Amino acid sequence: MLAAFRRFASRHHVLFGIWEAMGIGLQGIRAYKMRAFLTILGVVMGIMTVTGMSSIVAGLNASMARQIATLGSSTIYIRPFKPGEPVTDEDFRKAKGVTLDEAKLIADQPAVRYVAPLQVIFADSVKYGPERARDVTVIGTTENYMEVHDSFIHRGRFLTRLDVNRGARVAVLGADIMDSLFPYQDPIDKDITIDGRRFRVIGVLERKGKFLWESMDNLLLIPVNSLEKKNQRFNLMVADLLPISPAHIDQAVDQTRGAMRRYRKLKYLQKDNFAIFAQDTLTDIYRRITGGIYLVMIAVSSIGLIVGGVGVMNIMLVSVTERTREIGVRKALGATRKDILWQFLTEAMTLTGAGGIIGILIGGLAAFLINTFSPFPAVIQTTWVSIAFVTAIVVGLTFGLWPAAKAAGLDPIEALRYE
Amino acid sequence: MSTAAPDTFNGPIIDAEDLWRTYEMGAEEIHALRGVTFKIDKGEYVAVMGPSGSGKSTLMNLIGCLDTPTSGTYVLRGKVVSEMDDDELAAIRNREIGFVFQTFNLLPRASALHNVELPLVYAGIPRDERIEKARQALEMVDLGDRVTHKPNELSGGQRQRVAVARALVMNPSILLADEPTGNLDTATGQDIMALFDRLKEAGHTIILVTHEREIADHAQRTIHIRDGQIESDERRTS
Ligand SMILES: Nc1ncnc2c1ncn2[C@@H]1O[C@H](COP(=O)(O)OP(=O)(O)OP(=O)(O)O)[C@@H](O)[C@H]1O
Ligand SMILES: [Mg+2]
Repeated sequence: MLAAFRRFASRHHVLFGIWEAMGIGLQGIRAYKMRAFLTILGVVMGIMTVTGMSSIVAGLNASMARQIATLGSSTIYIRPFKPGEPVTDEDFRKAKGVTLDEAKLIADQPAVRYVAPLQVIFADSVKYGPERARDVTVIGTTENYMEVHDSFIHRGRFLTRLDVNRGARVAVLGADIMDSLFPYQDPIDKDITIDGRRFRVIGVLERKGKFLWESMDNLLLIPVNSLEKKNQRFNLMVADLLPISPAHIDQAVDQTRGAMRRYRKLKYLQKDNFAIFAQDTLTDIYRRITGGIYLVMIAVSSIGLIVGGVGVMNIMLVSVTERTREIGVRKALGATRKDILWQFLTEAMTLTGAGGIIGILIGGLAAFLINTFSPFPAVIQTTWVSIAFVTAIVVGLTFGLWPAAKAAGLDPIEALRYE
Repeated sequence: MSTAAPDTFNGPIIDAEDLWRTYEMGAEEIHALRGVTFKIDKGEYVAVMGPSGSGKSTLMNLIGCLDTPTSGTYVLRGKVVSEMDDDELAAIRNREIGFVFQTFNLLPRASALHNVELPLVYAGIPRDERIEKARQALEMVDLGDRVTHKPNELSGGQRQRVAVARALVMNPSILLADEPTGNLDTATGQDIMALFDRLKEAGHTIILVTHEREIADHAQRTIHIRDGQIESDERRTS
């Protein structure tokens, strides 16, 4: 394969020159290692940025997708507002939380399987004897929470419909809360206090791990009816629901929306005073954020590549001057303008290509180290690496053009006489 | 020892008619050549002599197709060179001309073999064939055991022999040498002249510029130039 290409290349003048010039370019790099390296430093940085950052962003994307899936892959959210959209004061005033009656109504929709209303409050302190946990998310919910959020019981039992209907003062702990309140004991049937109110622990959830960098186990579930009324004024109740199958997400969204509009007696032209969205909305928002990271990456690497390109142009101009005599000799031996042009263009491309490879190696190594030793996942992106490499070559071609044209245009006699 | 290419062309290798070369220096015009006319046949060994600044190098540049005359016609093996463009001249230099310079002009970082390979590179000859031919050319100048040496690992005489091998590797119509012994001591210069004698015997056409009588005596014909004109053109029948 390579041999065949070589044969083809050596028949065809210009292509042959590429092998020639690549060798000469590498010789030049070897002869002036430090100078060449400093010259292509910009290119190295630019390509490194692209390789490294695209790996990290892609890694985050992949783990985001995976983690969103662990939230329950077809969960639908009912919230006062759509995430990521600007909210005016008026929107705030008009927004209404989901009521328990609405939750029941939604549960009756044909495409909806389970609804879990969620009343989220933040407890300043949760105590058991001398142990205490701070800033705990307390969620008032129903027995459907487990199904909707794909949670599992690690120990004890979950809330039952009876607990919920009676407003029983019982609690299910997230794994983090158990760690801090019950490091050495079985928590089941122990009484804890949540901001001063007593609850009996009936179960512990299985550990979910982290979503990005935030723990998903720092929570406490209690029956929605056991919450004090005053809490509900500050935080609107929301609801999460599960359609009968992942294929019914859109139907479930439509039916729920219709049911809620009817229940809230919204007129035809009135906007929703609630928001319904599925997970793809979350993924979209996340993509928008990472799109910003890509922009930064492209800006940083462009600066690097331009600096590197100017450096390459400079080193090539010096090289053309230093090798004026060589150019004269080559012309005397039969090199055409095109041959000389290609020789210097290929040298420039070899320089920036080498810079590109070094950049890819460093960026790849950085991605590997980040993946191994930090909580951020990183996956090397062949597409971006290829784009980066081609860009490096194009930079060489662009910034090498002027010096190469200068070399090609030299008069052979003048060049041969050059001291 | 290789021989010159089998040649079906019967006329003179070089037919130069009233060549002028004028340099513009601001408002001033310098006539480096003023109407030079001569013919050179295949297999001739010609020395060009003359005082400094008389136009010898200018003439060699024209013959070697590095330059074109301001006026006059230059016909090389039946081809009118004086009207060719850059690329055509490059092709002619590649196939028809072999240059030997006073200062050797080898590529300093390339091996002897690679230096000799260069003209073959620009002729588009495949790698294996190039290496083979370059090796043969180096053997012809008795440097078969120095192929991997870089120029700075060779003596002056050896360097000039590499340059001769490079000039001959394409089997050109003419070998042009502008003071090839100018940078060599007398003994080494004699070695190079002996090499040229051998090449003449093998049928090569050689044109050589020199200041020295003894060097010119190796040739069978001497053209004297003065102030851009041919002062005398003598053949020795020895
Ligand atoms: N590029 C140029 N521009 C202007 N004048 C030139 C140029 N090249 C040569 N000349 C002039 O042309 C004349 C002939 O120069 P040339 O180099 O041919 O002399 P030469 O016979 O080779 O001399 P030498 O024996 O010293 O090498 C000289 O007067 C020189 O100054
Ligand atoms: Mg001269």
